[in-house]
Amino acid sequence: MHYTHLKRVVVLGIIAYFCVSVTIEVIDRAEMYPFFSWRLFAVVPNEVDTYTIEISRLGNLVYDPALRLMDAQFLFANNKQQQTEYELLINNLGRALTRNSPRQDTAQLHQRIEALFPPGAFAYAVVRVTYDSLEYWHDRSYQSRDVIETFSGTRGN
Amino acid sequence: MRLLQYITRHILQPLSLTHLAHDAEVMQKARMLVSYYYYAMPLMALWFVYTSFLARENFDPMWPLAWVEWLSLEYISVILVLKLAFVAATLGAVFFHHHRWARILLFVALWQVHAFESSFLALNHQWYLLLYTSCIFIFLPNIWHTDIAHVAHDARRRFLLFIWGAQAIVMLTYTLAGLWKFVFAYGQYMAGEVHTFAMEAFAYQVANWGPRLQEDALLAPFIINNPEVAWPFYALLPFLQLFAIWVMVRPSLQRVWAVLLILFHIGTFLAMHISFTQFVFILAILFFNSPFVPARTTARELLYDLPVIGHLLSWRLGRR
Repeated sequence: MHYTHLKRVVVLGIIAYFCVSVTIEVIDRAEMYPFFSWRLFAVVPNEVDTYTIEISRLGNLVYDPALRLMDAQFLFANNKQQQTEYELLINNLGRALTRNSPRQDTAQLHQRIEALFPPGAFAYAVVRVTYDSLEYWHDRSYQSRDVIETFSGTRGN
Repeated sequence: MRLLQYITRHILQPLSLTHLAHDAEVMQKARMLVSYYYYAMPLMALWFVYTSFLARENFDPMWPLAWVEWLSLEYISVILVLKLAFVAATLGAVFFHHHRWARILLFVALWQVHAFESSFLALNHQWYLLLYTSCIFIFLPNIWHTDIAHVAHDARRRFLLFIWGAQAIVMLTYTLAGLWKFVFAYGQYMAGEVHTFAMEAFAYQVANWGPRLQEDALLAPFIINNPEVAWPFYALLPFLQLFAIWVMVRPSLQRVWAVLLILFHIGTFLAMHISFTQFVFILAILFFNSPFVPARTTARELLYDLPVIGHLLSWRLGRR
């Protein structure tokens, strides 16, 4: 390929990346591998409206009040994962439960969450919470909290 | 069309790679930059090897890892294969990066590593820039073995063009990050919410990420309790990011921007405990020894090369 044409290809490639990144953000608000919109920290989290889980039992341990996932660091210490990796999954489950989606659709989602738990009995609730990030930092308080559904069972080895 | 020509000639004033390709020193730097990239790649392999994936839950292979299901490999075997392949590919690239096959192998290994890291519930953004750069570097013409004076001019400028392309795609990602900050700041400002340029914005980000990441960031309490101290840095960040792509037409600013962006990543780690190791790596390799940075640049020239400010200075005081 002649250099002039190659130069155009490179510049057009960069422009195309820009257009794809903007488009996926505008139309879908999701990623399209291997493209990414690079929207990082763009929205200031004034009031957070999200789903999370609260654990009331793990093995022989009973939590009262229930243990918030954000306070359950020990669940992620062994598997080298982070709570943020599970946020999308939990929000998808919360939305599906709110919509009363069929059980077979939600079963896979909550089973993937339960993979986090150690072997033994477990019980937890999917809750929808709203909070102000700064207030939460200072006093761990929610503005609203609605229990969507509770799950319990036993996880094998 | 005339507007495009005006913008190109009078505002962008793009680099002439054809002209730069005549300079043996520039070409030597260009070759060294590519060599440094591949020499440093084993560090990324070590980082990947050192990371333990054994206890991770919810492995759901992305499509680039389709071979995992075809071969019905166990999870532990997948980890072993990827770690060995990445180490072998990076070592191969250290010694043979002047051969295209070694650069292709490294790209494939990186692609697989990135797909693997992205196969646990969420896509991994850390490896994207290395992936793009390795992909672009595959196409570099072979100008290593010969004395640079004997390399055809066309091959030299193609070599520079691919380095320029890799640098541009890296800076473009920062420009996009800056663009969204302005777009959403406008939306939040109109909605009467705390927005990116508000005094409390950084404190809100830090307070939001801290409990979710379950990590104690060193500066988090200070930023939350003293938002006015952190505000200037956070408010300037969108400008730094938005104009990142500008350094591709004003290369005298490349090192300055790279240093500022690395400081931003270090600041993010100290404030939120979010690490951007691969981003710091790529910024340092591609921009600290950039062949496009002029050998000597005065502070006055740097000032005139700044986006917007430089144009205002030129308009009010005349060119340089």
